Amino acid sequence: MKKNTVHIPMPIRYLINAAAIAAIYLIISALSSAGVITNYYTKILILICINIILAVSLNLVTGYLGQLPLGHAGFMAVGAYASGIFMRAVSGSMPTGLAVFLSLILAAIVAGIFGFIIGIPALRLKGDYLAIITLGFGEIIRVVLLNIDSVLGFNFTYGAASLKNIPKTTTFTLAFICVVVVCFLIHTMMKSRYGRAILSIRENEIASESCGIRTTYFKTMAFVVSAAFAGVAGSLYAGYLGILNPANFGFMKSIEILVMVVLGGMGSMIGSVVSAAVLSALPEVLRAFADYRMVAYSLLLILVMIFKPSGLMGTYDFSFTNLIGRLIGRISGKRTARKESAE
Amino acid sequence: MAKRDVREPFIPERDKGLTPTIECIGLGIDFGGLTAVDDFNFTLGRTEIAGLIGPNGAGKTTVFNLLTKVYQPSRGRMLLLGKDTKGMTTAEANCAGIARTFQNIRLFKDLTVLENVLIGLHNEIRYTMFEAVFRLPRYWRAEKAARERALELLSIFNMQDMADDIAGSLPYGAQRRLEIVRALATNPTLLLLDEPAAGMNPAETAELMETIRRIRDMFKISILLIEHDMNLVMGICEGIAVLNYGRLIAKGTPEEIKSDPNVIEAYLGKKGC
Ligand SMILES: Nc1ncnc2c1ncn2[C@@H]1O[C@H](COP(=O)(O)OP(=O)(O)OP(=O)(O)O)[C@@H](O)[C@H]1O
Ligand SMILES: [Mg+2]
Repeated sequence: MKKNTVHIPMPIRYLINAAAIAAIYLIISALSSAGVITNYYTKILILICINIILAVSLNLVTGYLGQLPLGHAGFMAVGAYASGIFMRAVSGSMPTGLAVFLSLILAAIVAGIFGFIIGIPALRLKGDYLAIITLGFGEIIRVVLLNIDSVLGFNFTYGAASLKNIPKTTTFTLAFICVVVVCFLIHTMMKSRYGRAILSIRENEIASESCGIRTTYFKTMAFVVSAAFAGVAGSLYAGYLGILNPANFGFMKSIEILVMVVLGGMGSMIGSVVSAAVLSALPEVLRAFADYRMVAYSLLLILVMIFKPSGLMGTYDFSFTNLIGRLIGRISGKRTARKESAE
Repeated sequence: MAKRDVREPFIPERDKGLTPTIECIGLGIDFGGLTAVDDFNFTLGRTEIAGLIGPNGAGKTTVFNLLTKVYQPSRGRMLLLGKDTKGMTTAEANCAGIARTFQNIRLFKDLTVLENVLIGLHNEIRYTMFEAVFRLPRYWRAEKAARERALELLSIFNMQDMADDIAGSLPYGAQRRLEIVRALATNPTLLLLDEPAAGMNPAETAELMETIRRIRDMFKISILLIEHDMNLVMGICEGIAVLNYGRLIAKGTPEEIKSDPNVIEAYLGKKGC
């Protein structure tokens, strides 16, 4: 297999990937301006983008770092509320583009800080214990968002009455750009010494430590980055719905994201992307069965665990350029083989 | 022949003038009520190959875990190049120059051979997170240099052709060798090998012996190894320390150890029993 692959040099790889991404975007926007993709479908596409960001960011901790946190929706909530409150405060006093950009950054920073605060104690634990403590923290965030106003007398999150009138600034273009940026950043990080350190912790923590890797530092780093990107997804979500209620960020949302990651294959970015897309689209397409979504999720998860425990993609990471390289390799390989047999 | 005091340092003549690589003074550790290692006094010369032997459960691996700071000692001190290592973590001990392999292999199994070595090179590769995610020139340069260095290290064991194989899929002997390469990648001053020849056939063991010597000469480091294969131990070690029930019972050259009645008793039991 290796021998038949033509190695495509770096700048060209980037160009090919950039072209592929631009093509996807252009096709979708052409379809929507032609009216093939209606407003309703655009909404679903935005939701897919948000879920992709959630899944790939959780995959960083679950798939690459090998830990099992259950509070991802909590970080999303923090990002969503930070961004929602900010957007309400600055609306009208700042160009929208700038406000949106700042709200995304703010959401990432605030969620990242929460990731740090929660990660420090949580990452001292492993396995089930880590799952339970992060689940607890996720719930704490939700409950605080729900009650902080009535207890402390703020007009801040508006608790169960919902944070309303957030400017609806999330367009498909913005969501798409965020997906590309987040995937790019996670991808490049994972292909560096930082990413290798994270992988080594998953593989064998003791060996990792004995290679001079400060495991606590890198675990916390992965956790913070993951939380920050969940915050970005939350920010998009706030600008997508225009209204936030703590109930949207419950434990089930965390589970939903986890299911996407596990189904796609832990440690496979493309797996997370595909399964997030499919699992976000399915309930919309099968509206009539929306009530059975959680049942379907559970069944799906059980089936995958029985028949393909490593997830649909395993740890396979798709590389468009490698695929092209292999195709070229195969074609030219055939040619040389023919030449050889002729001689 | 006068018997050596196990509390006295024993290092080769040529290393005498230099600060020893490690110096353990009365090192000991208890696990609950069990004293696993006690009164461990040991000095290792800068370019010495030494052996740590003893029956099963004697506490050899525990000594390695003390040296690498997996455990903090209950008693005693340990100096690394003359500096006290009190309170260091395992990662810090590695950065300070102690690298090791494990008795039950601990590779990064699902990663490639090359990635395993690159992880060993982690602290040698220098670029910031920013340079990494935005792929700035320094990232490319450092990654390229690291890759070349990794292949060079793999070539010590003639493993450069396996660079892209998954580490867990290698044959057992190759996995042991890869662990040594990974440890060397961290640029150590002391290499600890926990039963490097375990599971190897005699031909492989003989080759390993040669390689260990070559590594010492190439890198000018000290090597301490635990091994049950006496041919290997007697063949390459300049100094040998013998542990039994967590205590040193003998120290000396291979010839002295071979004829030491305490050692023979520890290994074979008292005559007539
Ligand atoms: N973490 C621990 N907790 C409790 N007891 C331990 C621990 N680590 C080691 N021991 C005990 O310390 C003693 C020495 O173990 P150690 O692994 O160092 O032996 P060893 O000399 O390496 O033996 P072997 O040749 O079988 O590898 C054993 O009795 C072991 O049960
Ligand atoms: Mg042992």
